[in-house]
Amino acid sequence: MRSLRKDSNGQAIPIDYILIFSMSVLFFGIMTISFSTVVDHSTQQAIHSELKDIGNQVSFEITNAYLAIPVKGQAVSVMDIPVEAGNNAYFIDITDENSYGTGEKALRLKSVFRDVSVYVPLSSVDELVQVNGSASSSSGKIIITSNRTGVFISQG
Amino acid sequence: MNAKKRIDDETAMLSIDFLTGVGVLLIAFLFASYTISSIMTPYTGYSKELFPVADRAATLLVKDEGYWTDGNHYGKEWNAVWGFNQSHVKKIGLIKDTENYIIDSRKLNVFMNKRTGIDGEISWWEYPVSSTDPAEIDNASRAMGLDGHYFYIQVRPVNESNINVSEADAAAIEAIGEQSNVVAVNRLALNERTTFGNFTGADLLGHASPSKLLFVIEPQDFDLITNGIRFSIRDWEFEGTDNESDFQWIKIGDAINANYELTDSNKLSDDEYNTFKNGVNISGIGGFSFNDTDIIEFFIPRSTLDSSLPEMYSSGKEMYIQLNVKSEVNISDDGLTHFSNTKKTKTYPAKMTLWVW
Repeated sequence: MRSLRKDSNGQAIPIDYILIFSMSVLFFGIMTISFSTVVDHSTQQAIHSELKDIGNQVSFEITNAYLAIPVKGQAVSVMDIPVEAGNNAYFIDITDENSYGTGEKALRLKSVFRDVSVYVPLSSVDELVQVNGSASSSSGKIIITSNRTGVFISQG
Repeated sequence: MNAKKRIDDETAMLSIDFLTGVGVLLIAFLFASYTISSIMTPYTGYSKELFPVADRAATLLVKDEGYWTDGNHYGKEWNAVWGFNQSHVKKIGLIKDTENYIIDSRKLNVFMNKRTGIDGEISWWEYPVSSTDPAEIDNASRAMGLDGHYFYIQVRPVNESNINVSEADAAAIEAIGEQSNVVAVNRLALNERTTFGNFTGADLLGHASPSKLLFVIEPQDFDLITNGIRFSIRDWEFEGTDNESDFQWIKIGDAINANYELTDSNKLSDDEYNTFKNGVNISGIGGFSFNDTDIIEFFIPRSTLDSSLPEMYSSGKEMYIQLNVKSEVNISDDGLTHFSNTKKTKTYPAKMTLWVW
């Protein structure tokens, strides 16, 4: 081994191959990892952005549903939502947790296959009436029902 | 010596060339991929999140009455409780009722800073101002559904010729400062300006003989007490041919006897309230005489109210104010002079602008 290393006559072909091969593996490894990291980050941002938009739309509908609560009976509206956000299905629910630290309820949108959760405030509508329910994006529709007791979201 | 040896050493020379090439390529690749990524990543700016929050909050402000509860009692007149416990106010809504969607200036007055317009009739409001307590701002932000976002709000008449526009603009610029991500949302609505407390001699009731005027403020009207109670009496009516009387004392309390009188323990000292005769401050002199053309104005500061009636807001009881004047003042009958009877309203189009950052 030592003689191979010390050989400067260009005949140490195995060492040359080992060096080139390992460096190539390292190079492509770093390239793949960095590329996937960048792509993954972009995908997460895309999902976050899309979920935020959908969440704001749902929160807006919840606000409208509260403002249009009928005196008797109930009002039902069907809302179209995208089946996927960033090529991933997602769940929608109402949670007591939120990222604002205010202890109030918020709308949560959670990507099924990616670790992305987005919280959208309910603009204190939950202080006025009960807001509850959950749905998945699978059908591309959610139902928002409002009556004197509250506003509820369910699967469309 | 060692350095020269390394330079002269030709072993593995090919791999060092290769390593240099790979290194340069790797750096170029990383630079290119991060640059392209940042260009192609969807826009996720803060202001994009702000607009929907501001939009919903503004909608609820001009379409909802608001709500308060202390766990046992509840109601929509949150303006009556804002002054003593802001945490009881669960939702701030500015309108009077959901039939006409008219902004109630009484709700503006309890938390916003009122600026009187050029004609003295039309006003504009702003909130918060530099002197506003940060804890109060947090409560207002929560109750407006802004979830801790910073905000500034103005309500102006649509006809801006009645206000000092440059003053209002300057106030907004000063409040918002040089924030980079600010969204502004406008809403148009009718604003109802309400005034109280201007009595005329013909409307006065109390203990008829001897004359002791008795005024009452119901709990739902406590919001008109901001920094104190101000009221005035004009067009006095005197019995017989007399046209002059003497004011003697003022009492304040939350219970009266069957003869429409407050007890002596409710009497205020001369330095606990202010008196104005035809606009001239005559506070502290105690008794004074006045004639039928004089306009007498009283101001009882909040500090006096708080010390005289510490449970005023939470007791749910009415507040009584009694004035002792000589018997020449004509009181038509025993009874209560209601503050709410002096309520006057004026409605005009207004624009609410909410800035959020």
